[in-house]
Amino acid sequence: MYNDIICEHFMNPRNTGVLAEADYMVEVGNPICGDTVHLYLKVEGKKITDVRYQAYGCSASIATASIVSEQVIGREMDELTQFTKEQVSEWLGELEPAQQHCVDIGLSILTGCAHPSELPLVEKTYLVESEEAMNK
Amino acid sequence: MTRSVYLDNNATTPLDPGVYDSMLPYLREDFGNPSSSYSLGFRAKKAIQHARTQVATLIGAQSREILFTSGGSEANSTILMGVPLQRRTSGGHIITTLIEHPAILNACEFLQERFGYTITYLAPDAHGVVDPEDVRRALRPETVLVTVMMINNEVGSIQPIREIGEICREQGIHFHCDAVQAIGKIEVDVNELLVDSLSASAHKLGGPKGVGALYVKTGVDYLPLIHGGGQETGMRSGTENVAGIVGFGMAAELAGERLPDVQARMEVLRDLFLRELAARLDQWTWNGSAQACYPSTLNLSFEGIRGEALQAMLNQMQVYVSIGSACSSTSTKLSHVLQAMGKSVEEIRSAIRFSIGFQTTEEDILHALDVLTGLVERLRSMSTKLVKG
Repeated sequence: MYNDIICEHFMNPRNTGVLAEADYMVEVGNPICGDTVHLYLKVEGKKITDVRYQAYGCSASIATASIVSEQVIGREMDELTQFTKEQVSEWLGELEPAQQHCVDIGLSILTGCAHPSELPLVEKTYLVESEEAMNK
Repeated sequence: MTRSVYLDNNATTPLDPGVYDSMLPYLREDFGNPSSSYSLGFRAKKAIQHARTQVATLIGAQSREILFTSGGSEANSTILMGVPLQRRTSGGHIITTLIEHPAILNACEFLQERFGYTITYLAPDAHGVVDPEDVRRALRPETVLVTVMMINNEVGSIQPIREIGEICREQGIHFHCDAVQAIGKIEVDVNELLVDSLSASAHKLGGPKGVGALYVKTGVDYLPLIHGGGQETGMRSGTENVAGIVGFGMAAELAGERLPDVQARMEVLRDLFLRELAARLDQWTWNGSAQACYPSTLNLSFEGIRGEALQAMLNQMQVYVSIGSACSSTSTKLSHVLQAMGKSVEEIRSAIRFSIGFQTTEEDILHALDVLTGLVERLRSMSTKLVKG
């Protein structure tokens, strides 16, 4: 079972959808469990002014993307790299051991949003998984 | 108050009110140990004997062929350990299927690792059904056991038990059937099916948890799994779960009364579900078929979304269903049954199991569909997977 913060966010996810005028698209994926989150960023200077996301994933990754999207809006890109694992954990609330990967998803979203130019701007529809990842 | 709909009856069923009533005296005044030689004990012993007859009647067995256990897993393990190791202490061969419950698969793995057994796993077809001729082809001189489930828990596929029973009987090989998902749903007659042993669990048919039964045909030699005071003719020691056993007996009797109509009733509900779903949503597939599957189980894949997310949202809306594939950062945990049926990773990850019970109503189905449709649309609207149409 998920905590109330996670439940509330996956039932009412914020900032979902696509930004038609996005400056960047960031893709965050977990090749093992197959989750993918696409974030669309609107940026002014170094400041992220708007975010929308789409997610194909478990309830926890949908909720994580929603929670982190709220933190990203209005921040300078440089600020995003300053957040620690502990801070992300705090945003997400208490997690069971099997749900701890949400923290990593959150950190990956922050890293992706901090360095959007390093990521491809082409839209990918599917995350292709390697055989090796599947057999783990 | 929000309506709640329970559609996970393959996991467990609610306790039938009649079963609850039957158990109460044995949780209160009739608390005696069935082994005690005074009236309190006699009454408990008599109640167990009555329950044994009730369970035996449901499956066409003789009372003395029924052994009460702590559940389906213990019933299965008793045979999986007790039959092979009685015949060959090492190096034997077992035939089973890729779609068995972990109670069977993990027991086979244990025999392989610890006793040098070889296991043949038969693959099902795309509908989740194994071919009896594959059993014949897999037989070896050292084969000591064939074990095949009757109805699959994830997709509801019905296995050709009688046909496999004929092959095993002809070859003199012990044939065990895990009928945990079948008892109370379809007619199970151990003599018709030609099984040598068969397992059942009370809580799958309106009985309590923590009690199961093992049918073992008269004359079959096997080793006990639990040793002790010699209860259950020495084949399953331990003070009996009297109230649980009484409840199982009553659940078996009530299931027997429902049996003539239960399949037709399930078909009506399943067809309503499928018809309404088709009218409301596109891009979903049925992991099974009307020909191959018992109507109480519907395993469906919804394109573009994860089954886990859908299940979690349904849970928030008090619609309770199951998924075969969990999400974890370290493992894919894909359903072994859907993999064996040749489903793609995407199909498996987007699968949800709905299982109807004896208490499910048409209103339950329609309410669940209202909730389901809204949630699938919501998840698809935010999915990175392109959904056509």
